[in-house]
Order: sequence, then C-alpha cells, then structure tokens
Amino acid sequence: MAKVELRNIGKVYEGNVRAVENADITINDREFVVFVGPSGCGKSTTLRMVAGLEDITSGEILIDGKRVNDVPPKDRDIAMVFQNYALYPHMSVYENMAFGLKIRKLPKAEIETRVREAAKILDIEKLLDRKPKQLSGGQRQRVAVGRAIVRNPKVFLFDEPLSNLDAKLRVQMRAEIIELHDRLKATMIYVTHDQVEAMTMGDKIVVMKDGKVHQIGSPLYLYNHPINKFVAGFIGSPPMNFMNVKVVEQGGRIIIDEGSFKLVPAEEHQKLLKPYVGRDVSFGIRPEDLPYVEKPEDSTIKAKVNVVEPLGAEIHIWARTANSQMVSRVPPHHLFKIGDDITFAPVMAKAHFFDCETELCILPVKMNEQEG
Amino acid sequence: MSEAMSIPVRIRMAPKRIWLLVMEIAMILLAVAFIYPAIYVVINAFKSTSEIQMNPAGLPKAASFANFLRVWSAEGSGGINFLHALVNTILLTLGAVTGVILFSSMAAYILVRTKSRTSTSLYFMFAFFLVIPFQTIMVSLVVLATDLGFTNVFGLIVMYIGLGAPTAVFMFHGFIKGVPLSLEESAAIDGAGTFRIFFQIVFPLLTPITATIGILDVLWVWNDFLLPFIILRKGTLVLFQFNFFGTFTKDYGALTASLVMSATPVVILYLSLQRYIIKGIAAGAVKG
Repeated sequence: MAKVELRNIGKVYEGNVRAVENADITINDREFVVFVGPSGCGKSTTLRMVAGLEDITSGEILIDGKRVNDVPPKDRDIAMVFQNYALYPHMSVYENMAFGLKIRKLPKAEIETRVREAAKILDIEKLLDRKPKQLSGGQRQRVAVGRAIVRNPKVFLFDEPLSNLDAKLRVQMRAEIIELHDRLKATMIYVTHDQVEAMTMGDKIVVMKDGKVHQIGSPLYLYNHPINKFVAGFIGSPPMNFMNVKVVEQGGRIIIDEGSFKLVPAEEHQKLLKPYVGRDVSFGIRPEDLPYVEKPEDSTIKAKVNVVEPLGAEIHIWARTANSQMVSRVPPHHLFKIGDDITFAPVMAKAHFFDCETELCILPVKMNEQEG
Repeated sequence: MSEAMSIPVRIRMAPKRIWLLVMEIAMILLAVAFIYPAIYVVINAFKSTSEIQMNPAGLPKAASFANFLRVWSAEGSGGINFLHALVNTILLTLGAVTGVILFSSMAAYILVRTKSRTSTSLYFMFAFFLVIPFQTIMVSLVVLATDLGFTNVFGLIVMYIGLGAPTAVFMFHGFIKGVPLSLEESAAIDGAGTFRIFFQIVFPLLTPITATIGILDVLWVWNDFLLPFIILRKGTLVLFQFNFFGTFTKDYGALTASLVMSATPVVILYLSLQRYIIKGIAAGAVKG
C-alpha cells in the first residue's frame, strides 16, 4: 500500500477553465480519504489526475514518494471503480475481473485463485459466468470493486461508485466498502457529492468547491470546526442554520441582534467578536444545537413553525422569524403543527460565526486538521 | 348510449384506415415491381433458350438444370471458368470488406477520441467524399492504377478500401461516440495499450455496425460491375456474365442461370444477417 501526495496540483482546461487550483493533499498509507463537494468542484478531476487519466497542468503527484506526473495509468499501480462501473459488456464477470491480470501475464492458476478469492469476499461467486447486462446494479457494483481488488494495487480510487444505486442499496454498499477497507488495509481515495457518504466512510475528508480545497480533516473535525460558511453548510444534514446578525456591545457584553431576537454569545466567543462590533456577521447554529424550550426566556428565539418533517427517530421543525429561516432537530414526542409558535434556546457554546465578506469562520479553525 | 358514442369514433377512424389500406397497396405494388425482375431471372434460368424466347414470363414446362451445368463447365474469355471467377470474387470481396472494416473502424475511433481541429477537418473530409460520384474520379483512378501497376485483384482491393472508407468511417464514427469512454479508461488502468483497448474492448462493441457495414459492402463489391470492368476486364462473377453476350447472339438461358448462381451466395448471406443491418442502422441513428 502507499502514501499519495498531491503537491499544489492544478488543472486548466482549454479556454483557461480552471478545474483545480493548487490542491495540496496528503493521503497517508492505508487511509480512506473522501473528496467531497458539489458538482463541478474539481473532485473527480483531481481523482482522475491521480489515476493518470488527466494531464496535470501544474504541481506534482507522488505515489510512495515517486513522482508519477508523466507515468501512464497502467504503470501507477492503481485500480479505479467508475461511477457507471465500466464493466466490459462483451466479457463475463470472470473475464472482466481477470482482464487486468491477463495483461500483466500472470499464470492462469494464479488468475483463477485471485478472481475466486475476490468473488468470495464480495459474494459474487455464482455470478462469474454471467455477462454484466444480466446483473443488477448492486451486483455490477460488486464486480467493479472485485475487478479492482484482484489487482491488489497500491491505491484504490472510487469515482462516485454508489450514485447509480437506490437509497437502500447505497447504504448497504457503503457499509461493505468500509468493511473492505478494514479488511484490505488499503489506501483508498473516494469521490462523492454526498456529504453523508463522506461523513460515514472517510478517515479524512477533503471538501472542495470551485476547484479549490476548502478544508481537510476528520469528519467530526469538519463538522465541529468548519473553516468557512461553505464547509459549514455543506457538511451536515439538515444543514447548519445561518442568520445575519449585527454585533453590538451592551454594558460591556457582546450581543448579537438579528432584529427579531437578541442572543448573548458564549464567554469564549466574546473576545473574538469584539472587533466586529457595529458590523454584520453570519451566525451559524446546527439544528441539534437549536433545542426547543417550553417557556420563552432571555437569549431565545421566538419563531413560527412553517414545515414539520417527522422522520420517526426525530422531527425536523422548520420555523421562521421575521428575518430568518431555521431548522431544529427535536425528539419525536413533540407534536407541532404548521403555524404554531415555537421558542428555541440555541446552545451558544456550539455557535459559529462567519465574516460576512470573506465568509471565513471568525473562530480559530485549521484549514488542514493535521497541520500545526 | 355507448353505441351512440362509438359512432363518431368509427367515423373518425375511417379516413385513417383508408389511408393505411392505400399505403399497403402501394407498398405491395412497389415490392412486386422490385421482386419481379428477380423472379423473372430465376424462372427463366430453368428454361431452354427457345422456351425463354417463346414464353419469357411464364413458368417453365419442366424444370431443367441444363443451363446451370452449362454455366459451370463454360470457359469464358481468358480461360476463366465459373469456379475461377467465384474464387476471385470471394477473395476480392473478403479482402476489400475486411480492409474497409479494419481501416475505417480504426480511423473512426481515432477521429472520435482525438479532439483537435485536424480530426474534425478529416472527419468532414470523409463526409464530403460521400457525395462525390464514382464516375467523376473514374478516369483519373484508372490512369493512376495503371501507373502504379494496380490493375489486378490486389489493386482493386486497395481501391475498394478507399472508395468504401468514407461511408464506413461515417457510420463507425456515429456508433463509437456512443461507446462510454470510461470503458477505455478502465482498460487503460488495467494495463491495456491503445491497440489492445481498440481490439479487445472497443471493436467487439461495434459488432452491430460492423455487421451492417460488412453486409452492405459485401453486396456492393460482389455485385459491382464498373470498377472491375475498367480495371480487370475479366475475372469476377459479374464480368463472367459477359461470356453469354455474343455480338450477334445472346444465351439467355445460361445468362439467367449464371445470374442465379452468382447471386445465391450473397442472397443467403443477406437473408441470414439482415437483422444486423436494421439493428446497426437503427443504433447508428440513435447513438450518432
């Protein structure tokens, strides 16, 4: 297995279209790293550059310390699982899995052993004689993974491999890929636009947008310490609530004023917000940090319920003040109807504040969790 | 109530049904017009020459294979008999069609996968050659072939490849665009080089269009008269028919039998593979 280093890599397409800018990412040996971001953020391009399917405009890529910028895909010792599985339609499952091994001129007996072992791991032994068109989506997915693991490569690359599956199967395959990672102890890079996949699968997440890496860190670090408004809004479902508030000073205390409510930031945030007195900031609070309270108190938000989403284990209450919309995650026994008045008491110690101009978090946060 | 409601529906349906009937009759007449010459040739192949002259349209009084035996044993100009002409035609057709398929599919693949002005220009050049009638280049082609010493079966194969390539490249181009690039990328990561990717991954996926092009080109080369005539003068099945046209006499019995014998292999080929023609054209239309 191997360490993959992306040093300031960039990709510029014809017409000066910048797909990736100065991406600086280190994927440690045996790490499961997820590149996540909205469509067009450059995550797949970055993965394809690692695979050697796209030329690199600037920077360098190292696999196991060896520069591979000009090394063709076949010599990088990587395996890739594509979004559409890319199974060869005219070959059987066995031939699909054996294709790469045959090219590498492995003895027939070894090819057979490796294919059967991989098929056993993935529970597709009975499908080896079938053609891809005779398989379901989940089975095709398994074959695609199987084709990758028989090669025993240094690095596994996954390009949105679950996006063509239905929701139930996606959850199942997600668990299987995590299990596979634990079993193979392999270096894996996984691309997805689904933040739930990123959170549940990755040892480390790389959040990208507009070709730029916004933040790198463990799922919980990114969830609890987002570097900017984009990361804060992208990670987590339902997303973080954002409200535009004015920072004011009253009697030596910093207060944030939304217009329809006033809140007192936590002690540790008071000093950080001081330079923003008189200016607007974006106040961010996660739905689970916005609990409902029976009685209106100081430093609470009074709102009107406009959407109720009962999910069984919890309820998402969408409510509105005069100026803001917010969502709260509440236990399932609370019964609310549209139009009901509701009071939230935000956990201010868990609040986030973002500069309205730069959208950067005002609180001290690392861009890359592993850096000092 | 329901009867009252069904009347207007029936009235509305009537013009449509009449129109369909007219269309069907027109199509049957057209089919008869196309098939009649073929039936005419087949039934006359079993008659003697005098019977053909007396009763050209009627069925033979007694089916005779004498014409076929005569054609089989006839020695044509240059000492070429039917079997010789048949072998020549098979070699010519196989060589030409294999060449057209091989070179055109590879050319189309590179034209689809190479995004450059050169590839676009080359593609349009191929498309442009589709509209040039053969007769306009015929004289210069003969002169060039003579200069290069290409007035033999090999030369003819080369010419057929050149003449068949534009259509084949055009058809392959449309089809290859529908082949997902990720298959090739996956093969590249698996360790395959360009030729292996083409021959082991892409080419097998082109089977429907390859079959279509193959069948159409077999029909074209097998039945072509003009090009073999101006280049070879003798030696192919179509040119072999000439032996039965004398300056003053025409042996219609042998001629029709020879036509039947020449056409039978391609008719069988066409009938057994015609589903590929329709499939290939339909797929090309959708994916192109």
